[in-house]
Amino acid sequence: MHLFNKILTIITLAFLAVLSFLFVLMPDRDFSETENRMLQKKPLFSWHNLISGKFSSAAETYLADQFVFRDMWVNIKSAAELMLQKKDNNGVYFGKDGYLLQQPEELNTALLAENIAVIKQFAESRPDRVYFLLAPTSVLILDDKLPSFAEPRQKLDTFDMIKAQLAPGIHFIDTRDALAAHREEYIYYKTDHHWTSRGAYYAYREAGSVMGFTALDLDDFTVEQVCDNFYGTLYSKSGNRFIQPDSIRLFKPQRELSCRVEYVNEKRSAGSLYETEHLRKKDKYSVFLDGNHALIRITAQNETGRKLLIIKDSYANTLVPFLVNHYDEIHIIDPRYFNSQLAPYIKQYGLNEILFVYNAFSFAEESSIRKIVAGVQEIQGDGSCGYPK
Amino acid sequence: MVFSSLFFLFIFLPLVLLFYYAVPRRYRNFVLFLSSLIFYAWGEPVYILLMFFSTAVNYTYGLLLAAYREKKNVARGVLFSSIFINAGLLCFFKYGDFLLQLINSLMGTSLACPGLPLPIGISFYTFQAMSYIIDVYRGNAPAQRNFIAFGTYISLFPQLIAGPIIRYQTISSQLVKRMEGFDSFGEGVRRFVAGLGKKVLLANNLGLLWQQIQQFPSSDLTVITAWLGITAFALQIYFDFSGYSDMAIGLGKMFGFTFPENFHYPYISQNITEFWRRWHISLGTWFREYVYIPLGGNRSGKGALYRNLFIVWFLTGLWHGAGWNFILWGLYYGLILALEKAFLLQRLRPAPRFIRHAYTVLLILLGWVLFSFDNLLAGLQYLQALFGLSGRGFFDGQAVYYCYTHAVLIVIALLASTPFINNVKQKLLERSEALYYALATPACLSVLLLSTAYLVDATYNPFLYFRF
Repeated sequence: MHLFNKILTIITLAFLAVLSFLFVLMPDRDFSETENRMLQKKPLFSWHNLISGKFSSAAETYLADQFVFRDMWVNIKSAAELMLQKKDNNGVYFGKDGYLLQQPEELNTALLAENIAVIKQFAESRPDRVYFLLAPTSVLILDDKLPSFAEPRQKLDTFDMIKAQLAPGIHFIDTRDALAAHREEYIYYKTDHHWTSRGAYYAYREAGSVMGFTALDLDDFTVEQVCDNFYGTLYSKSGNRFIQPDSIRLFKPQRELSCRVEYVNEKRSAGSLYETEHLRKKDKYSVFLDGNHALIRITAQNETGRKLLIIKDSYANTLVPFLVNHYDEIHIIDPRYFNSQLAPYIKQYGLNEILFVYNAFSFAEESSIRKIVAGVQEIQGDGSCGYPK
Repeated sequence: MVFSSLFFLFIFLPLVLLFYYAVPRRYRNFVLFLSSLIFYAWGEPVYILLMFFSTAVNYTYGLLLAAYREKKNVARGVLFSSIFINAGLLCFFKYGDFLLQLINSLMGTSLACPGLPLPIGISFYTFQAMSYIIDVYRGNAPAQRNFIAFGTYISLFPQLIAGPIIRYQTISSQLVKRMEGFDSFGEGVRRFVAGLGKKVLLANNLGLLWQQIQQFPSSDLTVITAWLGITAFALQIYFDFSGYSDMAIGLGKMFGFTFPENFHYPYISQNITEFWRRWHISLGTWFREYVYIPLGGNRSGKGALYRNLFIVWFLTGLWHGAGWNFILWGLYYGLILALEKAFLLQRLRPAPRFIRHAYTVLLILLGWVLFSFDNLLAGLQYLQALFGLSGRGFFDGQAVYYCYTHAVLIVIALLASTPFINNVKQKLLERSEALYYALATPACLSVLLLSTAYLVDATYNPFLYFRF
């Protein structure tokens, strides 16, 4: 059938040609919001790059990243995967009731053991009270939301193992039961790997009993929904485009509380714990304390005389707005970005309560804790042998 | 560069087609030769020199053979020195590390392995070059005096990387004269897109399943999971390889070539002899024409027959990769084929169809276990899991999870590995040609769209055949 062959030939050639023309004509994008990553820019040609093969691999990535209607293609693929009944992609489960749940990575046992050892050593070498809040991620608590028969690799026994090893000397805050009791509530985002403020609230209540403060009741807060179109990290990672967005709710204490938030390295301070301009951007979770910073110092007029140092990952960002009701000062250090030494800092500000907040996966992958705590040891070593006390 | 990449589809191919059809006929080989060199150099520019060397040497040897046709002894010397050079290049680049390690372990030496990356397609173009030399020596084809035409044969990008291995005699006339047109182009598009879909939609997704199952220690696998895994691998390697052959044949058609078929529904075979007539046909033909028959084939007695089978299947295994598992895999098939020749085929004949099919599929799947584990011990452990010796039982939740999340994919893949679609096509063609084309055209375009979507999304697009 000559006619059909002609049609097929023409459509196919037109398809290839039009897409490659559009590729040349359309302006390049720097960043993909849905994928949450920088896109490859036009590779620079040089003979050296060409011969080493760098040019060709960059050119291929460039074409894929800047491909026209990229998001539409990803949507088509996502639809096809759903039709194939796939229940996970790229390490993310497509759970029940619209939940995306992160499949744990292969556990880095060596790094985990080192992190535990380093923190224990740190706690033993100090007179301060050291707490550790290991936040369970959604896959540990909402296991009923997993696709049928899915068996995530990392089980609760890792959690128990970390708890058992840290327990002597460190006040471990186990929030699993508190969260599990409220598993029917909106305690984890469906499209993001974090807990919601409500989830953080239950963790905070548990923390109160260990850290010695009386947590406020849920009724003491006004819940304010600030956005209903939050597509989080798991949405990006999963490639599943048929998922409803999350809403973000802030829990604001009804009592009057004035606080000052100082972003130290940025030399900027704010009167609120929330940075609402992030609600107009992709990474809406950054509404809490402006995302991750090396050092944030919060002063609040509680007159409790208590000061707290938090060493944490991003799970703490939703927890801090609750803790702030019980401390005069909270210093928040994210070791991934904090490049100074911990000990002199603790001494300078007279801090005597230290809280580690990590989620159960990131703690096993966090390689920067060592850095700041090793720093502590170094200082002590110098102090004892170099200088007279 | 690989066909299943956006860069090939949306930049390289349109440009080559544009130039190819824009220039007068007599320059078309030049366009193909040049674009093949660019295609080759794209990934590893340095090895372009190797390909130039190989092309120039074999071109010269071809001319020498033509010049000394009458002098048998000289021609013979030319033939052997050429085979020595070709096989030597292959040995050096593909088996260098393997041989050195072997020498080290046998002699207790510690020679350093150069660890050179394998030049892409070397296993394929070296075999093509040898076929040229042998065909010219035997007088099955005239020596190619046109360097561009010869270079086009050696480096022809549609089949450069993963075959089919085209014997010179089957294509020599097409190098000079071929017919392009809408009909062969349309056919080429359909074939290419079918191959693209096999590779991108089926093979890659099956590969993801195999990758997930393979990462567990075999002692953690239940019987069902282990069988699911090796089935996924069997289907992956078939769709990957035959998809690539389809793309090559389709591209060939777009440029007016007719390449030989490489796969013919191997998984429906009733015995292993038949399987190897349907699997990687061009490799089997090459070994038969240039190794098995020159060695005497089956015409010099029983002893020679088994020796020849052993040699051919040792080489076939070795060709697939520089590793003991590949050699073992080749010899495994050599043994089965010898047994089938000796008595097994006779015995199988009266058995019901499904028994013969089950026998074949079982042996093929066990073969793939050998093939896929470089580490023989790991392969043995996987075999244990297959037969329930891992102690993890018949199935568990994980097995159920993998089964139901991949059931649709596996069913589609199984169907696509049989002549089912082709039968439907024939039925339609019998009823009405227009109806077939009216259905095939949108189907073809949908697969192209879907494959593009998967390629755009692909962070996962490994190509298995670079090792060969």
